[in-house]
Amino acid sequence: MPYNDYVSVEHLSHRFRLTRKIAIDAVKDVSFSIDRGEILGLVGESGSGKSTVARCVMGILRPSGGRVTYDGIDVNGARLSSEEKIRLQCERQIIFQDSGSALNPRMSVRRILSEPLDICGLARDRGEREALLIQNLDFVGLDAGILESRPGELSGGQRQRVSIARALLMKPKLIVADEPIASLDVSIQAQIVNLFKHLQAEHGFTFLFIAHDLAMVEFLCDRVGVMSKGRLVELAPTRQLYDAPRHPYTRALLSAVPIPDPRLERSREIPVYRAPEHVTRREWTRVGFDHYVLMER
Amino acid sequence: MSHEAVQPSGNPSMPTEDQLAGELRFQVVGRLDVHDAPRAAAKRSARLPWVSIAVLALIALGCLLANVIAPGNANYMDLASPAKAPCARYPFGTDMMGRSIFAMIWHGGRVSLLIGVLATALSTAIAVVYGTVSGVGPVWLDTLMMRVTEIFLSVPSLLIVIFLQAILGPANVVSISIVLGVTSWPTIAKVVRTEVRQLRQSEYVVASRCMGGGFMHVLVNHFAPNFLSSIMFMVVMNVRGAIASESTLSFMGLGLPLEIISWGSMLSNADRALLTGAWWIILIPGLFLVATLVCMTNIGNALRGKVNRGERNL
Amino acid sequence: MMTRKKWLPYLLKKLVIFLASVLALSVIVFAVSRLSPGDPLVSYYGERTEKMSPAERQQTMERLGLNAPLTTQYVRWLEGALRGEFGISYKYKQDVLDVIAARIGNTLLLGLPGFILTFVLALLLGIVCAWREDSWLDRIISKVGTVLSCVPEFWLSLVLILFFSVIWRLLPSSGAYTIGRENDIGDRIRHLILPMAVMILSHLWYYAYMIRNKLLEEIRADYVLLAKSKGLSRGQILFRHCLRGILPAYISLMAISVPHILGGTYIIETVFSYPGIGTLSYESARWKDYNMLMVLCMLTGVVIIFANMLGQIINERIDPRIRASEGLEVPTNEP
Repeated sequence: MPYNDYVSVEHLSHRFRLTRKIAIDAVKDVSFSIDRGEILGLVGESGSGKSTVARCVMGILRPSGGRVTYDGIDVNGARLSSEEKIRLQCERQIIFQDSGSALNPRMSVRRILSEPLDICGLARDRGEREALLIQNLDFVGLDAGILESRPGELSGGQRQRVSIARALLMKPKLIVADEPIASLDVSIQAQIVNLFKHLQAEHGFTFLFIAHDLAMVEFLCDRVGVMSKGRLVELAPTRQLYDAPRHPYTRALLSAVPIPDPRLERSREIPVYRAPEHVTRREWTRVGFDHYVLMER
Repeated sequence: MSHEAVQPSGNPSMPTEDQLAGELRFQVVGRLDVHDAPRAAAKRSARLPWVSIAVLALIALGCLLANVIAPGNANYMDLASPAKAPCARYPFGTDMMGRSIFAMIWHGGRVSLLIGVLATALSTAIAVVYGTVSGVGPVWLDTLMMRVTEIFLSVPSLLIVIFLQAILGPANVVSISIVLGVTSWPTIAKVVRTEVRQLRQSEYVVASRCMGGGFMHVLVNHFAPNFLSSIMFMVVMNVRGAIASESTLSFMGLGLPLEIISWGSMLSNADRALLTGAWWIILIPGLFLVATLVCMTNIGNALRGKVNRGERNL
Repeated sequence: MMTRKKWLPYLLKKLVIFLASVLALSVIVFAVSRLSPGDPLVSYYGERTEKMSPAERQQTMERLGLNAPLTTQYVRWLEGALRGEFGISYKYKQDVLDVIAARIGNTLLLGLPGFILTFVLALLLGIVCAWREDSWLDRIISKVGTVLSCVPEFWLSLVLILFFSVIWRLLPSSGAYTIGRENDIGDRIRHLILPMAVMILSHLWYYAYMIRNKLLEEIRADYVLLAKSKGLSRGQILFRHCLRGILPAYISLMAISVPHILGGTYIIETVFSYPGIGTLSYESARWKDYNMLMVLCMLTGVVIIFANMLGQIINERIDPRIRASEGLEVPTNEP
């Protein structure tokens, strides 16, 4: 079977077992695909399963159902050739939400950035490595002076830039960013999102961007998927989704974005989305060009 | 497009500002001047116990230089003067068999310290491997391994020691180090396991595994630096414990025999010394032993670091 | 508070774990004691063993049941143990339980008051040090305590014997009573003073220090400020509120300290030739008195397992703070 999709997620579901009796279905039957060089946004409230999807795509979690393929390689496949394993390791990179915990506080920035190179045995020559580190720091707008600092001495924005630089070092073809801006100040958020946009334009990687800030997603992404309670409820090109949302949850989500005019903001009514209690049928329906909605009855 | 597209042409080292402006097709936004970033001043959290370090260093140095300070065979018995009180010839006196206590202190200290270090090296190695495996393993394995440590802790250690001694044959420095090392790992293993269990969920460990880092890579680069600081205290305490245990065992006749001199075996014929009131035979080796143990405790406590408690409310 | 409904299954579960641990312990102790080399006949017949002919040896081994495979020996021992028969001591040629019964009183006489005194004094010292934190008194007590807690029990015993018995001739140096004066209470107490002093001195600071630190943490809690703002005096706050706060920790500390103190008591008994369980264990281990060794190790192990479990129960169920933070475990899922 030929794979046209670069990254494809098919009927993915994941269940966390908390105790013998309690289990949480974090992701239920989610399918989507990402094209080469595309920026796909995934939005939804906290606990809607976005991060779990991201972790399944990265192979950190083994999905309880469905499968994820990357360029035709089954991410959780049992029999991967070593070449495929190396491709998965090097070509996919993840950026975490909390840069404070994604960087080992005991390591200098130099060691943090060197770690992927050490693991893969790349750029062993000292001068070559130095140049590579500086070059990558430069991509994210940091300079070489930061190399000896430790994460604790950096600001949140700087730390997130270091994590981005670490991801970029391996020249990845797919970057998964799990709420990379959620823990930053608003002004820094804009900087980082701008940075992502530039980096993507320059390097042309495929990008799965997970966030709950709708404005940032609108600015950055080509297509947007909306998740609610573990399900993907709507998937559409950005303009289309923001102009004509179809799913009630998407509408509620979009209308929750404040309007920068206090008078209007105060007077308007924000619809609240209540999930229908008894859903007998769910159907993934095409409602426009490349625009899909989960119909619930 | 790839990285090469933006790399300044032909110059792998630092590009100049002009080159950057000309070559780069985008402007990096929000460039931050890192030199102004506040650097936390490295603060010593606890004062080092200099007195303890100095005393311990002196004792250790004396033991290392035992052959210079007290040349000759420490086991030499001056049969003419057994149990002689301290005098010019024998600064610390002689024991019941006429051996110079002064010489025995330094030569025996070597043995005692060596046993402490060997036993601890062994127990720490076991503990780190055991704790890490238990920490990263699935829940059932973790539960099983921790249950084993509890049962291990509840078997009277005297029994294990006697058993191991019996297997290993007549006690010598290596065998007693092995016995003490094999019986003293569970407490360290528990701490390692707790730390690893917390760390393995942290995102930098997940990130490291995503990059393809294997078990040893993660252990050496991420786990070890984190749990080292919390087990350092226990490691020092383990040295202390091993030295104390060796002396107790040797004293009870379960450890080193009389002719292998250690601070413990020097005390093993103390009951005869008691009868004659030869205080130097009992007090002097014991004082060296206790001084060493106290210094180690102080150093261990300093390693644990004083918790900054803040203002009391009472 | 826990409801009654939840207590019962919880305690049952603990009981099952307890029994399983005891069984596992018995297997280990049995295997260890039988596998270690040494001639058990020596403990039974002493020097005469060497003069025995191989046939005589064989016969005796057969009679004592030492020739059967280990598993059979274990099952035989377990069957007997369940009926309360633990066999005879090879060394004393008496029922094991009789030998132990004759000595356990001595150990309890030394251990229980020592244990209680240690913890009462530790609490008092902890309170004094916490009350006057960082004062000269606190510092001196801390220094002296650290030194004392580093002194090995056997050496402390030797030093005390040297001074009090040998040089000043104030107190007896060994045994539990002077021969012929078994029922003289004053004489018994005189024999107890030195061992008990060693026991208390060598353990006291370890626990006092923990109590002190717990209290210092407690003193920094916000409720102390509240109580102060309501006008309570320092003493009232410390004794009515802070002490109550550390009570669960104090009790569980007592529970988990049992193996530590028990081990120390055994060594002290041996040094003072005090006729208790400790001396008996030491002798039976040295002379391969299997039946005795098994029972003594089981006895010690059971006490330790029970104390550990008690500490666990206190930690998990009595201390409300620990329960509140129990929560659900973080989901784990390895790639």
